Amino acid sequence: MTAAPLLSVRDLTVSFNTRFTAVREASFDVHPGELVGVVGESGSGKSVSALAVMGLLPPTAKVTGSIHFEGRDLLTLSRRELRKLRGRDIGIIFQEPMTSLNPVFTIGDQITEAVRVHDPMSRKAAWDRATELLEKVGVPAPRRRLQDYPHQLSGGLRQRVMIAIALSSSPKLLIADEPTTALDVTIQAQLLDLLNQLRQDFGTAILLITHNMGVMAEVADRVVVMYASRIVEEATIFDLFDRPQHPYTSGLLGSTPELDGEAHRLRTIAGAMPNPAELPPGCLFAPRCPRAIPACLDMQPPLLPISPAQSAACILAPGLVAEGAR
Amino acid sequence: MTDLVNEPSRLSLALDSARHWVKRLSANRSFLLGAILFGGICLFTLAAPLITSVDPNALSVRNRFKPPSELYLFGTDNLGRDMLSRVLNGARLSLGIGFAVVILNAVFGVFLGAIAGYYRRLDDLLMRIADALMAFPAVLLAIGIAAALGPSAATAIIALAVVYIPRTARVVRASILVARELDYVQAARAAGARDGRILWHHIMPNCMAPLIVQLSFVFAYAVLSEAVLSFLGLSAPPTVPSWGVLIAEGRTYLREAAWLTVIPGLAIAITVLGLNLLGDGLRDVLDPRMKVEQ
Repeated sequence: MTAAPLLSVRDLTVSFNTRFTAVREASFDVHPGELVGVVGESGSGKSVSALAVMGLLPPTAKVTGSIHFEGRDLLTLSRRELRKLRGRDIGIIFQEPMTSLNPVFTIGDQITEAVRVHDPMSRKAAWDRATELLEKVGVPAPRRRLQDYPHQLSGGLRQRVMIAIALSSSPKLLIADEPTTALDVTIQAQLLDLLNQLRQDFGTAILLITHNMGVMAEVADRVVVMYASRIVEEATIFDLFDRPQHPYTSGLLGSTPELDGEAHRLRTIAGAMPNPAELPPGCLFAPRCPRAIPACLDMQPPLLPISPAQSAACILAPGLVAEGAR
Repeated sequence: MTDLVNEPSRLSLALDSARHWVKRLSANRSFLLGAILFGGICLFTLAAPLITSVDPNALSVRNRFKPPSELYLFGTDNLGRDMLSRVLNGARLSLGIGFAVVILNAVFGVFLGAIAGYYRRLDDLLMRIADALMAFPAVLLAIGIAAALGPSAATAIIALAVVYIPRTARVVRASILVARELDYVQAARAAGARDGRILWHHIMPNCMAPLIVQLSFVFAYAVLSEAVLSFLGLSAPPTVPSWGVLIAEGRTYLREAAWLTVIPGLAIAITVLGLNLLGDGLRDVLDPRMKVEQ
């Protein structure tokens, strides 16, 4: 953790149409070879943050703050420079393997296309490289698969193809936007193993976006928890599971089924996420928070460190209590 | 090895898909009838030199106003010119102008539609200009442009292209707007593909079906509007007998020699009907969702 971060996001704020803000003042780092998870409910700003890093937000989005990748601020790069970076240094795997492949081209066409975009080579060499990539992501009989069309493959295989495409130029950072949601559980486990394997083999840093705490526990080094456009807690995976500091994190953990221990009704977090167009005053989570006190309604607590490896945005978190009570 | 495995399968795949389309298209009655009508007209037009070698402008005053007979299949006009030769030669001009308009539509329609639909920069400006052009009745606008530029075949082509390109550009833009939001287009962008490649490789295949259908209708309208322009003397000069010119010349003798107007009129009607049926059939086959409930 001493090395300079590969990706450093500072005060990222993304808004649409001035009234709707999808991400507020998000700051987090991803170090080389690290797997950082981003969890949160649908609409908490996870995917928008990922798209902002890729520079794939629609032009109507207003983005402020900074996104430094290897020291360069992505927000100041030209379209052209950004395009060169995409795919080569930063790869992304989308949520829907079913629709992320072009139905009218074969798998081989699509992988070789990705290969040749950043690394001009002959068709034949690209074809060989594609075979190699498919092998690496664990697709059986890769040479035959290259001639298949996407509809001939299962969801798990298609997601592997997507990963192969994302890996085609050995990116330093791989963004995986809920890569396992559309897949069944055994395939999920295989894919998570695969991501872990790739990280060990190539030192690829991975930003994994999910709403599945179980997936997080499996693979993440560090976790960023987002709620209603804000980061509410950031911690190593062990600290997060052992000592969640933000009541929202506790709530998320409480609503995850466990295999060992007694079966009990899953606890839920009362209420729903606030409408992003009319946010409550003070702490955004206060209306749903079981521990809320009147002071919570006065201000949005900033994300402050509790220990070197953990920060939370709650006035009740230990270490912040003193400041909050002052 | 790779080549051995891949190339034949690609070829056979292409053949398979060609066979598939031929089968589906020939099962469509509207397409079949349209293809026969329009194909027949095209065939006669191309084979004109084989059918008759008579100069379409050769006068023969003794044979004025001969009704259709074995000697003069389509009869003769007020100056004794052979109508068969004139109609067949006129077809070349009429269809040629129609075809040129279609080509211009394909090129500029796709180009402008892509700029507006994909880059979105000039979207508002381009589409407002298109709106303005489309607000005029098509024929009136074509007449205006042709009159301003002076009568010639090139003028007719330019005028008709200006009239129909906005419509084509709109169709292309609409399909690009849909296609550019597809997940795999986003995925291609995330992989760092160039705009040109995304447009050509991933987006355009989605626009082909509506574009082809649109172009078949543009062809029909262009032939029809060209007839109007040449009837009014705003297209090629009378020495080159396009169908509209033939009707204009024949209308004076409508009572006495109806064949002078009826035959070129039928030629126009068959061409336009054929193209419309063809376009309808294409639309039903290429885009089943558009099919009107029966």
